[in-house]
Amino acid sequence: MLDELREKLLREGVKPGVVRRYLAELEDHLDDLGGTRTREEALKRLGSADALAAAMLAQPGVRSWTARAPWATLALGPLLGFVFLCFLPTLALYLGTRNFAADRDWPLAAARFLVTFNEYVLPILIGWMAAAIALRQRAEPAWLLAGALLIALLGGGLIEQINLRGNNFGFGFQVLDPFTSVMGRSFETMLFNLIAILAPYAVLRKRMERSA
Amino acid sequence: MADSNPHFMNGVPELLILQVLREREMYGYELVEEIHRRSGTVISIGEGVVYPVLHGLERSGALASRRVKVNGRSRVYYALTPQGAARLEGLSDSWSRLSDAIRLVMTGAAHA
Repeated sequence: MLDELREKLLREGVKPGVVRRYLAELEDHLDDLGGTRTREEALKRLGSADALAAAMLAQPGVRSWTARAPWATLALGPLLGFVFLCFLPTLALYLGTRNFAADRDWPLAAARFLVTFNEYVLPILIGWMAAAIALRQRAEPAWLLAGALLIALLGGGLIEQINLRGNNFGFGFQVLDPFTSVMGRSFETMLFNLIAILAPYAVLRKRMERSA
Repeated sequence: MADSNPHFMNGVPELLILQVLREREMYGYELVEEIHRRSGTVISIGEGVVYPVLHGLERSGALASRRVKVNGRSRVYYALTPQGAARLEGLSDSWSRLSDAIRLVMTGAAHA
C-alpha cells in the first residue's frame, strides 16, 4: 500500500523529499500500531492510499517545481546550466592564467581538458541530470525531450577556443548549425549527445513502469 | 452531509493538534491516541491523514519538529512554536464563536 501511495504522490507532482518523509512517518506509525494488531488491521487504521494521497495533495506548497513548471526544470534550467558551466570555468582559467600563471605550462593542459570536457562530456552530464530529475519525479517525457534536444544541439555545435599564449590571449565560443553540414562533426556529436542522454532514460523509465 | 461541510470542519484537525501540542511535544501516533483519548473516543482523526496536517503546520511555522532516537527507532517529535500558539488562539476564538452560534440556533435563544 505504501508503494502505491509513493507512486501516486510522485505522479501527482509532490516533492520527493515530502513523499519520503511522509512514508517514513507512516512506516513508524504502522510499527506503533503493530504491537497488538495484524498488519492488515494496522493498514486499515492508517487509511487507504487514496485517502492518504488526498490529504497530502490538499496541503499547499507540496508540489515540486518539476510539476508546476516542467519547462523550467527540464528544458530551460539545464540549458542555462550548460551555458553557465561552460562559461564559468573557462573564465576562471582565463583570469587565473592571466593574473597568476601566465608563463606556466599547466594552464595549457587545463585548457585542452576543459575544451574537450565542455564539447563532449558536459552536454551529456547535464542531460543525465535532467533525465534523473524527470525519472525521480515521474515527469511526463515531453519537456525532457525538448531539453535534451536543445542541449544536444548546443553541445553538438559548440566550438570553444582558449588561447593562453601570445597576442591573442583570450577565449571564445562559437555554435555551429549542425544541419548545415549534415555529415560534419557537429551533426554527429549532436546525434551522439541525444542518444547518450535519452537511451539510459528510456531504459530506466521502461523498467520503472514495469515495476510500478 | 456533515462530512462535506468544509466551512464547519475546516481547521478542526489543526485546532485539536495545536491544542494537544500546547502542553508538550509529541510524535504522530502519540498525538492521534491523545486526541482520541481526550475526546472520550468520539473524535478519531484519520491516523495517516494527520501527517500532512502536521507537515503543513510545520511549513507555516506553527510547529517545529525534531528527530529523536528512541529504543533504536527514529521518531519525529512536533512542538508548538510561539507562532503556533498565536494561531491556536485565533482558531480557538473562531471555534468558540461558531459553537456559540450553533448553540443559539439549537436552543432558539436569539428569539427569546
